Amino acid sequence: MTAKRQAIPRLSSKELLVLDLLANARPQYGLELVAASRGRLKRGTVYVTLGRMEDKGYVASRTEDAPAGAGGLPRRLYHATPFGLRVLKAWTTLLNHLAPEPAR
Amino acid sequence: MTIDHPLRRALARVCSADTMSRIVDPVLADMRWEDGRATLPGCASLAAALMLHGVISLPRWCAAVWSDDDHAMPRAAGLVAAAALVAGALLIAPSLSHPPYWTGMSFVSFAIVLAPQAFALSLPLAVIIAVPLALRRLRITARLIRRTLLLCGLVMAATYAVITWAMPNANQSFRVMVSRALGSRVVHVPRGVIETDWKTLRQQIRELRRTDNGRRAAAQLEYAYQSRVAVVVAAVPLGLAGLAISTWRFGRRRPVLTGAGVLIVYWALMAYEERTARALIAAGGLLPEYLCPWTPNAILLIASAAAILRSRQFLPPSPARSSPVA
Repeated sequence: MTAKRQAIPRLSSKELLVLDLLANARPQYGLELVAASRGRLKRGTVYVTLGRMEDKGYVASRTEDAPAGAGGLPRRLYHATPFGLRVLKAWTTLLNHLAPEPAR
Repeated sequence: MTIDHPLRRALARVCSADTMSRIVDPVLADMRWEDGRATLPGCASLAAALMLHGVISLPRWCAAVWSDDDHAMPRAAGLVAAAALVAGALLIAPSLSHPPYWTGMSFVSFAIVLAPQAFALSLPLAVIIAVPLALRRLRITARLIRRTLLLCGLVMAATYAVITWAMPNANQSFRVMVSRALGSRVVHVPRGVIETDWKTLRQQIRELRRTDNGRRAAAQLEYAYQSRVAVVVAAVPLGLAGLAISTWRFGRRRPVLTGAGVLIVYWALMAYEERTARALIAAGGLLPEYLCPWTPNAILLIASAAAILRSRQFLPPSPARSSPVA
């Protein structure tokens, strides 16, 4: 009987982009990520992507501290988790290894 | 954009707490941050996000519908199918017990051409038996109401498919077979009202209305058209009636008996509206006759909704008041 293999964490191109944007920055809002991605992330999909990434444990979120007396909805701040950063590092290394070398 | 914004309150009634905290609230907060109010681009991005979230969550949602409430929904769907089969068989049984052997048709082909017409009626009627039977041991929640209405929508779609594609052709086949068996030399058997498709029926009504002498015939066709639409839609008021039965103590104890009782009342209302419509068509123009087929549905819908609202079993703690922070 073979031992069940542990699933390798997968990263889609959008997830890779989000982790890349969050890796070396302070926690960001969805709209900030959309603006920073220069059109590669869309307003309509960014929160769905972030939600899936939160399920996978790549990012974590918290709501911003609302100023006293403010009645508006607080925004949600996202940051990369240590696990997400490890996955990003592994995928970046893998992609660098698999990238075709320029012809000499 | 506050927690009590009408858009958020409306979405909180249909979306789960998880969807609210992960999709709706962040997008609304962004809208507040950008413009301070609900803008068209913001609402468009919210709609896109909800649609994408819905598609991605579909497998998980289907699994939840399957297992939630002690498998109530698959049980209700199975019971609808079983009740439709039994009711359909009961409807064609009198004709099958004395099949016209002189037509040369076999028992099986006779059953096949009769079945679509029987199922067009038995499918919506099955809902009133199946829903109270499936939900009799459950407390009626808002989630059960939503899912039961979705099941009614599926029954509506199935009834529409039967009435649109199967019934007209099956009936016409029967007419052609009988015509041939009677030795008729008529090559083309004209289609009757039931055998005519929606589009042609609508066209006939328009053409008859243009003529001076065709108004009464147009009224009769309009009545037939509206009756057909009312049969398609009947699953919804009957489903709501099933939910209302599930909120009554007697309905929970005797779901089939209560369902059958409501069905008899519905049938009596249909017979009464048919008689009234005939009188209205004969009188010509007192009241629009096409309202008549909708009367039983409207009465059942209002009465059932009132009974469900009165029971207040389904009332959840107001989601709009819940914290936006999950």
